[in-house]
Amino acid sequence: MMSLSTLLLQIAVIIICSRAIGLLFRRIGQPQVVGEMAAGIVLGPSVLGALAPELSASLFPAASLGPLNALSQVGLIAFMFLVGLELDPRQMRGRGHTAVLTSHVSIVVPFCLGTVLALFLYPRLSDDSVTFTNFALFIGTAMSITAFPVLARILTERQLLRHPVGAVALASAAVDDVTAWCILAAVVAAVRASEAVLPLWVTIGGSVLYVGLMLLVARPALSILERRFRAAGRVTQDLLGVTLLLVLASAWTTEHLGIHALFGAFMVGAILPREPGFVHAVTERVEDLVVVLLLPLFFAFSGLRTSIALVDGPAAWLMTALIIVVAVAGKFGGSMVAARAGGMRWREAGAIGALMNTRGLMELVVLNIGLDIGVISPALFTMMVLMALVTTLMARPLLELIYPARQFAQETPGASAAGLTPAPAATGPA
Amino acid sequence: MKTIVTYTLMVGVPLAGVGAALRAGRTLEAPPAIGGAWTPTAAPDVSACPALARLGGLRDVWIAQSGAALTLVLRGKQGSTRLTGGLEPDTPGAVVRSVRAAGDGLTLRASVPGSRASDSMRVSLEGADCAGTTAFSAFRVQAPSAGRGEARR
Repeated sequence: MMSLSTLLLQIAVIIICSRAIGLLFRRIGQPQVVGEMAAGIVLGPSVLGALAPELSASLFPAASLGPLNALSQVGLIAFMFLVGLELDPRQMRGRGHTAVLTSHVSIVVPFCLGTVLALFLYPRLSDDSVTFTNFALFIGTAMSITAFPVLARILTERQLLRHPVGAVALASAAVDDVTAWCILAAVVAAVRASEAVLPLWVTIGGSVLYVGLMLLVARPALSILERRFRAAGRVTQDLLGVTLLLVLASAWTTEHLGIHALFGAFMVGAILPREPGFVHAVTERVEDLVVVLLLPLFFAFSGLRTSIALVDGPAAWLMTALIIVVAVAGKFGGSMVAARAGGMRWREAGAIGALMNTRGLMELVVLNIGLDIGVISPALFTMMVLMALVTTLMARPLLELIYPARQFAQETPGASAAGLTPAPAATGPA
Repeated sequence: MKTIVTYTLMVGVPLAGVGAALRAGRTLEAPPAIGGAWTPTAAPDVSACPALARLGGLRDVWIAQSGAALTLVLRGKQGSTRLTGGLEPDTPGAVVRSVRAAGDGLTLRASVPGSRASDSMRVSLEGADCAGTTAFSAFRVQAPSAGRGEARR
């Protein structure tokens, strides 16, 4: 058994590394979340484990990973609740066929390329305990992910939220996230059904019933939270307690249905009342603890599972490069062509492609689920983590290259001088 | 009309591509799964092999698998050691799969009967400072999917 002092020491080291490397990345104009993802890898076998194996073994003994994982999962549940909370179905309304086309194409094209790539990867990086269908659907889903929260922050910083580029990107990313999570829930259910954890009909029937109850019963009933908020003028501790209990109950339900706890947390966030003051206040109360304390634990835990040594030899590195090329071609290329076909100029369409290609933490969440349920192998996990890092790293420079802030300001008289230079990177979840 | 054609082309064709890829993949074969924790049926005699004796005996062998590549962790009461290797190239019609891994002065050879979901394995371990071969049988106590991402063990 590990001691509490080991856990406390681990948390302290993780927070220090995460904040320090995150700050470093902000200095070079990158989102802090990329630095935090990198910090996780630094603490894992790829860097600390390779340079100082004894220190690594004493700081992160195998027996200590269970409690660390449990804490990081609680953080993820809270994070997915926040992601759901940030989504607003109204973002899709009135965006016209460009948004509809872009959102659908930005899912199906990377998904298609992902399943084609799976034909190459399956015999090389998987084993026969995983069916090709589950493997391919998972790779397709992982390729389709967009980091909605980091995209929203880039748009805010660049004052692009009300610009057609921002509006279409935001609407498309919202649709992408919901769709990807639904597909992922189906893949998780299929894998667990094949392991005979739960009969498939129970998972499917239960999930349909659960979603129906959440949309038709829980959502109208939750307006009581909004009324309480208005009456009190703030989010009281009781109100926050009830909200968090709802998140936990929903996460518990979806976990037992076989479609993963994170889907339930996301669902509660998505159906909560959309009164801006309420959403803002709840986010503010939950976000800091999640972003500063719990998410870095998840990054560290992911980093401990990421061993770059597994990408061994030129063939493995070529496979990693292929994964990155396919990911970028599908998401960046697909979104750009769709936006262009929807009537946008090439420059605007390219900017949408660059934004949609951001995968961030959302990709890491999906990959960890894939590793947990055994759909992807440790080596493929590492390759996909590198892909997530690269696509998130390239978002900001690519956007600046395609649609420089200075040019945007010239073309959009309403944009303030603040929009001329990229603002400091986001500190929130991504 | 143009919108419908564009939508059908840009969404319908990739969807058809997904269907085609899933159909094409049904005939693909991946290497047999041997990942997970394998426990010796009886505690092997490690007295002739100092590298194993230093571990405090051999409690189990943890295998993390990525395709044909394997990372094996030999775990004892007092420590563990890591070997890397892989499944040997397929012999047509073979009913036994071979594993070879090395590291830390040790070489492990194992044979896994059958091509799918085998739960028993015959293992032999040799080392530069070992007097002879340490041989034992092991059986799988943890499913392959549970072996994912556990290379640190």
